[in-house]
Amino acid sequence: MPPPPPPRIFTLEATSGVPIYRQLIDQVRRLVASGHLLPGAELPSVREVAAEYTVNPTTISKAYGLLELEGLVQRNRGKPMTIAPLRRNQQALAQRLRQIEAQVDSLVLAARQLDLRATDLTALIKQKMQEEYDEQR
Amino acid sequence: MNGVLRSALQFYTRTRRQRWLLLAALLLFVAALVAARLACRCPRSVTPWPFLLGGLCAGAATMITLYSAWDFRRISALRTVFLIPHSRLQLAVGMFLAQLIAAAAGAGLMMLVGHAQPLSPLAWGSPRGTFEMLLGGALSFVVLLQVVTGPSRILSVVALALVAPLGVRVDLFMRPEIFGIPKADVLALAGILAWLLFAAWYVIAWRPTAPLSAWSRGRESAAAPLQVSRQSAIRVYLLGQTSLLRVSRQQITTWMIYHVVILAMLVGTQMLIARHNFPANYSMAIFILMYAPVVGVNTIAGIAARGSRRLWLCSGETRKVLYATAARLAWQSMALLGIPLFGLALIEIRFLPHAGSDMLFSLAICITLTPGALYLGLLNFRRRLNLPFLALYMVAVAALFAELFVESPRGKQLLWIAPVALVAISCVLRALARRRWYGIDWLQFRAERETAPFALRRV
Amino acid sequence: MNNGDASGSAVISLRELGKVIGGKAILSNISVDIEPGSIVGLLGKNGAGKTSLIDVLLGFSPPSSGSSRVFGESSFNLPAATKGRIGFVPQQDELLDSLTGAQQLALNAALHPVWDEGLIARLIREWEVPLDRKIQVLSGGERQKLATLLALGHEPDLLVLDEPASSLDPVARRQFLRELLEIAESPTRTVLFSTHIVSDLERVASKVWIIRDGRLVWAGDLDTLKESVVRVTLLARDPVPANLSIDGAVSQRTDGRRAQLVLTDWRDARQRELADRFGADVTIERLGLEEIFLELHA
Repeated sequence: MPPPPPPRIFTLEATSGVPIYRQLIDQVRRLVASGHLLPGAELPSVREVAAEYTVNPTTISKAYGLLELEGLVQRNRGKPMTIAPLRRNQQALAQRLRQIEAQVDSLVLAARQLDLRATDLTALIKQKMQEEYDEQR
Repeated sequence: MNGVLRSALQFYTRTRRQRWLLLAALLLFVAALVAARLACRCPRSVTPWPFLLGGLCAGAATMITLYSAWDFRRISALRTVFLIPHSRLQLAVGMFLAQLIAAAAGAGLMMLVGHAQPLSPLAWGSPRGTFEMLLGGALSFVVLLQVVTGPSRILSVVALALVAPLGVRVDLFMRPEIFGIPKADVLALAGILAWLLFAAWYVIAWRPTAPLSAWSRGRESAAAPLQVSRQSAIRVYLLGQTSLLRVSRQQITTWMIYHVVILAMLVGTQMLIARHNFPANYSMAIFILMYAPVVGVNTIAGIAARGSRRLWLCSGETRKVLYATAARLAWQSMALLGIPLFGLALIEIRFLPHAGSDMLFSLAICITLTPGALYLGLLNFRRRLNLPFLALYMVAVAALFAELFVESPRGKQLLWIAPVALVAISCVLRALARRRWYGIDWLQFRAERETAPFALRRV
Repeated sequence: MNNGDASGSAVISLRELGKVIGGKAILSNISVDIEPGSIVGLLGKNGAGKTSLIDVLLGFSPPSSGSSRVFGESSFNLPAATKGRIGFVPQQDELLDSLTGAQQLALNAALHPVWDEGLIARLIREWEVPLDRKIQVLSGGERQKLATLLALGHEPDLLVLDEPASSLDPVARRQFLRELLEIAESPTRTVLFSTHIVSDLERVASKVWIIRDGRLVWAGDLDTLKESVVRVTLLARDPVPANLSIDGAVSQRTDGRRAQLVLTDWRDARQRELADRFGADVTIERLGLEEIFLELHA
C-alpha cells in the first residue's frame, strides 16, 4: 500500500470564478493523469479537506461524489477514499480525451485567428509533448 | 457668513418637530393675544385663560430654545464636526445669532400686543426692554443647559446652586432697576457675558463631551453572583444594570445632591446676608424634590423600553409579557423614587418657609404627573430628547403658572381640574403604551449608534 | 425553490414578503426557502435590505405583506420554544456596557434552558475573549466575539448573523469561520449570515442570496451562480451591432469588432452557438463572487 499523499496536495482558491468543487475535480484528475496520485493512494477525507482549507464540506463531498461517479475514485467502507485502479481501455481514453477537448477547442480557434495550418499546429504539439515526457524521465 | 446664518436658522427649523413647535407657539401666542383682548372688555371677571394660554405659549417657546440648545450640543459631540476646521466657531456664532433672531422676533410679537395688559413686575413695556430681556434670558438659559448637561457633575451642581439663590432674591426681578442700571440691560449683559465665556471655552476646549456622558459613567460594579435566576436576568436585560435598586439609588443620589446643595446655599444666604430683611424662600429646593421623581421615572421607563429589543429572542417571551414586566418594573421604580422624595417634599412643605403660593397644589400636580411620565417613558423607544414628556411637563407648568396669578378662590378651585386632567391623560397614555408594545416594530427604532452622541465610548 | 409541503422541512420560509416603511418599499416580493443543513450567505449593498430582511425574519418587525415563517411558525408571533432554537448576532451588538463578559454570559445562561458550558469555555480559550473587564472598555472585535458566543451557547438550530466578522482581524475571522463550519456540519443546523466580506462567503456558504433594492435577484447554490455568470469576450471578423440582443445579458460593451458582455445563464454549449452566430472568437472568463456582485449592480 503506497503511503498516503502529504497534505495540501490541492490548491483551492475560494475567490476564483471556478467553483471549489470543480477545482478539486480538475486537480484530482490532473494529479492522477500525471502520476502524482497512484491507484490505491488515499485521499484526505471530506472533513480533513474542509478543515484544512476552511471551506464548506458540502462542496468537497460534491466533488468526491462526482469523481466517484466518473470512476476515478472509490469509496471504501470505514476507510478513506482511494484512487481507483486505472483501466486502460477505450472508455477511459475517451473520457480523458473529452476532458481536454475544451482546451483543444480554444487552441484551434486561436490557430484559426493566426492563420496556422493543422500540420504546423500538430508539429508544435508533438514537439512540446516530447519535451514534457523527456523532462519527466 | 453664509454658513453662520444658515446654521443659525437651522437651529430652529432643522427637524420637523421644531417646525411644528414653532407653529404651535405662534398659534398659542395668537390665541393668548385674542384672549387678552377679550378679557380686557370685561374687567370685572378674572379669567385664567390669557394666563394659561400665555403660559403655554411661553412653554412652547422655552421648548424651542431647549430643543435648539440640545441640538447644538448633539451636533457638537459628533466626531465629524470635530474634524471640520472652524466648525465649532461657526456653531457658536450661529447659536448666538439664532438667539438674537429669536429675541428680535419675540420683541416684535410683543409689540403687537402693545400695552394691552402690561404685566408689571415683568415690565414688557418698551421694545428695547423686551428685546434685551428675551435675549439675556435665552442666552443664559442655553448656557445653563450646556453646563448642567456638561462634562463634570461638580460643575453642573455648582452652576445650579449659583442660579438657585435667584429663588431667594426674586424681589430683584420685580424691581425696574438693579444697582442703578435698568433691569433689562443687566439681564442682557449677563446673558451675553455668559455666552462669551461659554463660547470661549467651547471653541478652545479639546473635545466637547457628549451630553450627559458624565452621568452615565458607572462605578465599578460589585461582583454580581454568577448564578442568576431567570426573572432577575430579564430585569437586568431591561434595565441594563444589575438591579432596580441601583438604578433608583443613582437617580435619588443625583437629585438629593442638588437638593442639599441648594438648601445649604439658601441657609447660608439667610444666615449671612439677608438676616434681617426677609425670610429665606425654600420653594426652589422643594421644587427640585418634587420634580425629581417625574424625571427619574421617565428615565427608568425609557431605559426599560429600549432594553426590550434585547429580550425578544433571548427570553422567549411574548410582547404582552415583556410589556407587563417593563410596566411592573417602572411602577416599582415609581414607588422607590416617589415615596422617599415626595414624602420628604411633604415634610419640607410643612416645616420650611416657602413662597406664598400653596405648595400642596404643586405637589398634587407633580404626583399626578408621574404616571403620565412613566407611560411616556415606556413609549420612548428611541434615545432622543423626549419632547412629548416636555410637552406634558409644560402643561403642568402652565397650570402652576396660572395658579400664581389667579386670586379668586373660585378660580383656585377650578384649577384643581388640572391634576384630574393629568390623571386622565396618563390613562390615555397607558392605553397608547400598551397598544404600541403589543405590536411593536423594532425595525423603526433601530439603535442609531453610529451617529448618536452617546456612542462615544471611553477606554 | 420549494413550493411544496407547508408543514415541510424548510427552516425558513418566505412567501411574497414585503415591507414598507414611510412609503418606501424596503423589501418587495421575496419568496425563498432555506433547507436545514445549509449555510446561506446574504449579500447586498448597504441599504439594500439585508438587516431589514433579518429583522422581519426574526420577528422584530411585522411584514407589510406576505408571510415569513421560521420552523413553521409565523415570525411575528414566535413561540418561546422556537425562539430557543434561534441564535442571533446583530450587527450592532446589544451587550450591556456596565457588566463584565462573565456576567453577560451568566445572564444569557439564565435565560436559556440549555447551555453548553463546555463549548463556551473552549471558545473563550480559543478566541481569547476577555471575561473580567467591563464590556464598555472592550474593543470592537472583542465585543463581536462575545456577542457571537452569546448566540452559540444554547446550541441553536438556526444561527442568524448580521455582519458577524466585520470587526475581526484575519486570524480571528478564520477561527470564526472554522467554528461556523463545525456548527453547520450537523445536518440539523442551519446558518444564515449577511456580510460584505465576499471571500468569507465564498469559503463557507453553500447557498447565496443576493438582494438589491429590496428584491432577491439571486437565491440558489453558490456553485451554480459561479457557473452561470460568465464574462464573454467576442472578437468578430465584422463590426458587431450595438445591441447584440443576447438572452440573459446583464451588461454589454461594444467597440467596433469587439464586444464584452456578462451573461447570467451560461451553458458550455453556448460558446459554440455564439461563435457561429457572430462569426467570432469567443473567450470565457469565469467570475469570482465579488465580480459577479459588481456586475449585477452595474
